[in-house]
This record gives sequence, C-alpha cells and structure tokens, in this order.
Amino acid sequence: MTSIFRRCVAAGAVAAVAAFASAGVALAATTSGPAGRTTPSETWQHVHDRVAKALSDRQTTLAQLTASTGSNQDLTATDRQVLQSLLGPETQGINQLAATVAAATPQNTTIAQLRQDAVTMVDQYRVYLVMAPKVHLSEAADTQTDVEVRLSGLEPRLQDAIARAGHPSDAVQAYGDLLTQVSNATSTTGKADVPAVLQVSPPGYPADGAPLASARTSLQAAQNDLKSARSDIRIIRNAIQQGKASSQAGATG
Amino acid sequence: MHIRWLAVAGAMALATTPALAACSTAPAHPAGGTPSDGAGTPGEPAAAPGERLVPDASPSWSLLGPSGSAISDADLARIDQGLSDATNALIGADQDAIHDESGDSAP
Repeated sequence: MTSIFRRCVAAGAVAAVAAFASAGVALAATTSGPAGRTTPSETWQHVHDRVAKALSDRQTTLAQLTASTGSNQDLTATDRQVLQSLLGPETQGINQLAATVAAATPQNTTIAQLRQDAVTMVDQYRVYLVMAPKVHLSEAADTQTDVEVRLSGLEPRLQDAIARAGHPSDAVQAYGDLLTQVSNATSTTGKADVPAVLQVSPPGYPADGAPLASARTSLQAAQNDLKSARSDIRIIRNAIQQGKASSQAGATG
Repeated sequence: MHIRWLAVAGAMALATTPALAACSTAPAHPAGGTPSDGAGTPGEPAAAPGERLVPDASPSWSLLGPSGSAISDADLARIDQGLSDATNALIGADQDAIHDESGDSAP
C-alpha cells in the first residue's frame, strides 16, 4: 500500500514538472522580457511595433512614389494622372491604418485585431508588389518611348553624316544595326501594356498580376535593344572621326 | 522750353542705353545654344571648348566638333539620361518583385 502511494506521488510529481516545463516552453516561444519573463503586454507591444513599422515603411515608399510620379518628365500626362489617382487613395488608406494602429492600446485593441490590420495592409493595398511596380514600369515604358523617339530623330542626321564622311564601312554597318535595334525596341516597348499594368488591383493580386511580369519582360528586352543602338552611335561617331583624321593625315602627308 | 525737353530726352536715352546694351549682348538661352541649331535647349551646354559653329545647309548639323563629330553632346546626353532613368526604373521594379510581404501580414 505504501509502495503504491509512493508511486502515485512520484507520478504526480513527474506530471507536474512536465506541465510546468511545457508551459515554460510556450512562454519562451513568445517574446521574453528583459528579465527573461514574458507578459501579455510585451507580446502585444511586439506585434504592435511590427505592424506600426511595416505601415511606416509603406508610408515612406508611397511618398517616394508620389514624388517620383510628380517629377518624372517622361511620364505621359495620362499615365501621370492615373498613377496620381491611384496613389492618393492608397496613401490615404495606409495613413488611416497607421493612425488606427498608432492609437491602439492593449486596453482597446487585441492582438488579433492588430494582426487583422496587418493583413489588411498587405492584401488591400499591396504597396510593394502592385503599387510600386505600377509606377516603376510606367516610368520605364514612357522613358524608353521618349528615348526611341529621340533615336529615330537622329537617324537621318546620322545617315547624312555617314554619307558626308564617305560611307566608312564600320559606320554603315553600325547604322544598319541601329535601324534594326531602334525598330525592335519601339515594337517591344509597345508590347508593354501600360494600361493593363495600371489596372492591376491590390485586392486582385496575384491572380491579375500577369501584366506586371509581361511588361517587365518586354521593357527589359527593349532596353537592351536601346543600349545596343546607343553603342552603334558610338561606333558611327568613331568611324566618322577616324575617317576624317586619316583623310586629313593623307592631305598633309 | 526746347532745351528742357531735349535734356529730358537725353536723360532717358542715357538711362535706357545700358539696358538695351545688355539685351543685345545677352544670349537667347543663358547656358546653351538655341533649340533650332541643334546645339542644345535652354540650360544645356552648347559648343564645348574647341568646337565651333559653322554655317551649314542643315541647321541641325551645324555643330561640328574639331574631329568631325556629327551629333551634339546635348542630343546624346538626353538619350543617355533617358537610358539611365529607364534602367533605374526597371531596377526598382525588380526590387519590388522580390519584396516578401508575407512576413508583414503575420507579425
């Protein structure tokens, strides 16, 4: 009987220690305070600070995007107007959410509510994955279009210069490549569907995000063509300069 | 009476002469060529040191460098700036695409 009693006491002690240990592990898995202990308010503060920081970062990004949209001289009037009409409410919404979180206290807001604010911040606004790409891709498309127009405007001038230099072979070859590169770039930039990019909605992402990836691919390909065209101009210029230098040397020699 | 009018007219002429002189010598565009000569738009550098403006049938080709370059540096600078801006915009788009928002939604 005594033996049975002792066994029961021992088993109870083991169970108690195990229960205490598991409770300790559970506490350690959350946030521990300065003294190694965790209180509910510290956990609440941790969640609150993370949400507030994430909102603050988005406010900074939106301010940068708004400034860029306002100052970029290559954006078309339509694209600028659409972007500003999207950035305004987006900024207003994030600001409102940030104010709500800033005013939250452990007494009036639960952790679950804070987590819901974080979900809203991401799913409803998508500052990084939708809004920022909209601005960046629109800027890239409009800027590249401007460069293509400028390069096309130089083509007759280059042709004239090559003719006046006596058609140096390097220049003629580079000019042919330039025409191809500018034509390809213009066509490929046109495939970047900016109106479709601007219609991608944060709540609809990622299901409706295909135009972002598609535009990105087209713009990169077109940009490579434009850089090749720029290199062609360098080759043409050098060929003309070398031809002139050699003809001058021949005249003086 | 006539002498008084002559004095007033003379004073006015003296007062306006410096302003007229300033107008006649001031460049149309403070730091650059005129838009029509292909040498740059307002605020952009025109001929670099050593370059010269020469008469030409084609005004847009009037800027010739000493080595015979056929396009103004301002033209190329605009293109280079555009390419740089477009490159930066796509870099920005790349950085957007790799951003992981999943952690933010589950603090």
